[in-house]
Amino acid sequence: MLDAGESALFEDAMRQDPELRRTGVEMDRLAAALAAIRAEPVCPSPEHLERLQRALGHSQGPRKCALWLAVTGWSTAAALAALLAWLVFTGVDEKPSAPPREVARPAAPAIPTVQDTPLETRRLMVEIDVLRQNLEEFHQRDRAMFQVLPGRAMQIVMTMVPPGADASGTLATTAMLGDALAAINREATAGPLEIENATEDENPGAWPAADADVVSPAPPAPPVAVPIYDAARDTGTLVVSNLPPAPRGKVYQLWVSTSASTRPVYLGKLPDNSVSGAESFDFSLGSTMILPTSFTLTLGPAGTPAPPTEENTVLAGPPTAAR
Amino acid sequence: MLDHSASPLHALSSGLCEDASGEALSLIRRMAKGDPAALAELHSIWGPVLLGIACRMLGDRREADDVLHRTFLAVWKRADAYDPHQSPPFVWALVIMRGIAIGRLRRGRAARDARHSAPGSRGENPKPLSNDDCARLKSAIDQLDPEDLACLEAAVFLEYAGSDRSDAFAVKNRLRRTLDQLRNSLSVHEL
Repeated sequence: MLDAGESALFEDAMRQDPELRRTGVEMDRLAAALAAIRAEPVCPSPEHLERLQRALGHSQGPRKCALWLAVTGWSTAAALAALLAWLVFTGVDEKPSAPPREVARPAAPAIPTVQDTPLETRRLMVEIDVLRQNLEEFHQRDRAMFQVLPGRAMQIVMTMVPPGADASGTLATTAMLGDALAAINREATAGPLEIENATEDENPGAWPAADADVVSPAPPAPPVAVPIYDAARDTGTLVVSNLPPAPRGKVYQLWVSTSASTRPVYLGKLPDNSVSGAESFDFSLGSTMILPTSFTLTLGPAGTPAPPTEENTVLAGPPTAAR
Repeated sequence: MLDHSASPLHALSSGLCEDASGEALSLIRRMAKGDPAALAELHSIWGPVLLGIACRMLGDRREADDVLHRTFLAVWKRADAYDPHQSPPFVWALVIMRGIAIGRLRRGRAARDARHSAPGSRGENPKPLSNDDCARLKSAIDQLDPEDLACLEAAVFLEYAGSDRSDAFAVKNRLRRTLDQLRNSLSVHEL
């Protein structure tokens, strides 16, 4: 078992690493289920609940006591009034000249005050303590630099380009999915054959065809990917284009870096039958409120995923500025 | 869809101890609003299971009673801060109780020499688990080696507290192997 210092370190690591925190929650589930199965149930004594209620100020004892006092007070007052009335009636016949006796007013029932009900004060103190804790939690949340609010869509879109690609180029500036798809569409429709077959007869205004200068075919468009991720709902889509099929024995693997992790985390692999062209793949990070800082697509051997390196990285985003 | 079966982010998804009916969550929310009846009702549902676990952890009935008392006090105070997305209600309460029990064991207040536990209804299904989860878990436990199961129980019930840590490496390896086996057994069934 961990000592106090080790426990504090572990708790701190849990707060910083969502993956570790998730695993810890699952371990807690398993331990709870195992404990419930293997431990014999033991019925608490009836006094246990009463003690609990007294500690929280929920006990019915003081109320019953006050009620009893009120009832007995009124009943005593009523009996006293009846006695006095009887004495008055009997006293009128015998002593008509006697001055009328003052009828004693019944004593007002004692109104419980705060001093008389310490348990009520204790309950209020408990409530104040709970409110103070809530207020502290709110302050901590407000002091955070960035807070992901559950229930609100927080879409994160970035562009992944080959390593070393010009960050100031067209690919780096197309940060939105619509632009990326539009670029893909333009490249797909504008074929090199149209340019090569252009002649002066068909296009009088076109430049003269140079017999010596053969128009070289347009270079293949580089691969590009756009991950779109909603941190509030933990749903993501990776749109890739111009990605060549993976060689035999290798697969494309997606990695994510977050603000809470020190190294990239493996998300999954693209299906083996992925083809070049625009294609989308759904992914998730396993938990909401995780903010990715970068995505990386690597090409590695099928089986155990290998961490991203300069050699196996195919795409990475967001692209850094060209040096 | 990406194949994320090997992703550590989706390593474990046992789904055990889920509050399927929502009864526990409803009671906790009522407790957050200050409803004493909800506390009494939750005490009747969880009290026997938690007290049995506490007795097993601490080895002393009086200490277990006190730990259970403090656990429900903490549950009452933290009811408004409970987040059902983090963990199921019973797991949340058990984690609270485990922390209190660990504190007791560290301070050396609990004597683990004698074990006093009133006989309970052994055959009764603990309420925090559904019948299906109970059957799945029992089936998975039956497949474990008895020594591995004993090692796992010792970890769950804090029986390693204060013990000699010279064999910690061997214990960790055994625990890791046992947990992997248990997880594989549970993942065979639909979760």
